[in-house]
Amino acid sequence: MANTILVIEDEMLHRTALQENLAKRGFRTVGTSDGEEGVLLAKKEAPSLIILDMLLPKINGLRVLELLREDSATSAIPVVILTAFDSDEYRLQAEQFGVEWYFVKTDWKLPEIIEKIVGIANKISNATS
Amino acid sequence: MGVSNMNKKVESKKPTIAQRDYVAIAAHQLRTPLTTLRWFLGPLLAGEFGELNEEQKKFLSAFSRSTERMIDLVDTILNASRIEKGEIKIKPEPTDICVFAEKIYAEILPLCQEKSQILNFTCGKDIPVVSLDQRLLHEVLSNLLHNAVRYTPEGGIIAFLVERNPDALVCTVEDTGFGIPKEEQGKVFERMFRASNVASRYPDGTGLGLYVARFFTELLGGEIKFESEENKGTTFYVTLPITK
Repeated sequence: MANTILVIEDEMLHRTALQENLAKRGFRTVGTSDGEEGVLLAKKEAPSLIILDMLLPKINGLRVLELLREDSATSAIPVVILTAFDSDEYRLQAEQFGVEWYFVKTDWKLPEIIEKIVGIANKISNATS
Repeated sequence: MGVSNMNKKVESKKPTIAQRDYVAIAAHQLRTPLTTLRWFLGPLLAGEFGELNEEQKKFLSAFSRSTERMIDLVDTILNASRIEKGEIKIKPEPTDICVFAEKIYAEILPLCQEKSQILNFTCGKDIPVVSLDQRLLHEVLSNLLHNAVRYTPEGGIIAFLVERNPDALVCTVEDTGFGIPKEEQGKVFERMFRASNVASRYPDGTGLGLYVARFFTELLGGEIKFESEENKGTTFYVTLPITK
């Protein structure tokens, strides 16, 4: 579905803030706190973009990426990493899964990160239309 | 305090691997609640959840400044931990230094205004686009500018300058602050160094900022030097290679 953004984030306040602000900017959003459920939602909703946290319960963000990339239904969905976990090792591994954006949460104020995500989503939308 | 006890105290500044990992994990864990504070204090202060009276604004502004300070401290601790674990990976990208430096200037300017300081920013002509790791350079320049603001009295002057000499770029941060006592200048880039003339005035510093700044400058292929005179000020020079 076009213009749907899936937010996989276990911190409820962060997930809510992202979803509410993206909804205000005209995006349909779906959210979950759980990596496994995130993979299922990605298949069901076919979002145009996924925002993914790294430190999640059950399976971490890298495992989520691996599962998304293994499935032809979700392998091409662009993913933005948005995490408090600033690790060069994780960053490199995420890049190997084709993630172009790895944002560290504390580097950004909320309006700044929303602008970045909206810019990325619009760029993706323009490239595919 | 006896000499042996003093030695023990100095020794205790060197972290064991377990201590270092523990500190890094704790610092990482602090980032999630700090993100919550940072993300929600802004809209609260902007009145997005209802209009605030002057007193509420004053207290929330103080919360916001404290949050930013905590984020800086956590980042510095994590960077020092990464250095010691050899975890820094360099990712160069084309960088317009003038645009990049101006963004840092814009981040620091509000801090100067709070202390009625003047912050002058100048970027010279013919500064080329260079290939470097922006995260590392941001950390270096931001650290030097934060120190300049912190250790310069109200009403002082800070200059932030980017110039080109024939073979290199030079970023200069000059302040009219407390300066570094001459006898301590050889230790400035040591881990956990804090100048004796500011340590009592500002007890909450980590002493890791310049340690990280020197390491990151060297990773960028550059060099960091300084001149300082107590009660007159300090000037740091970061020299970077022109790599395309």
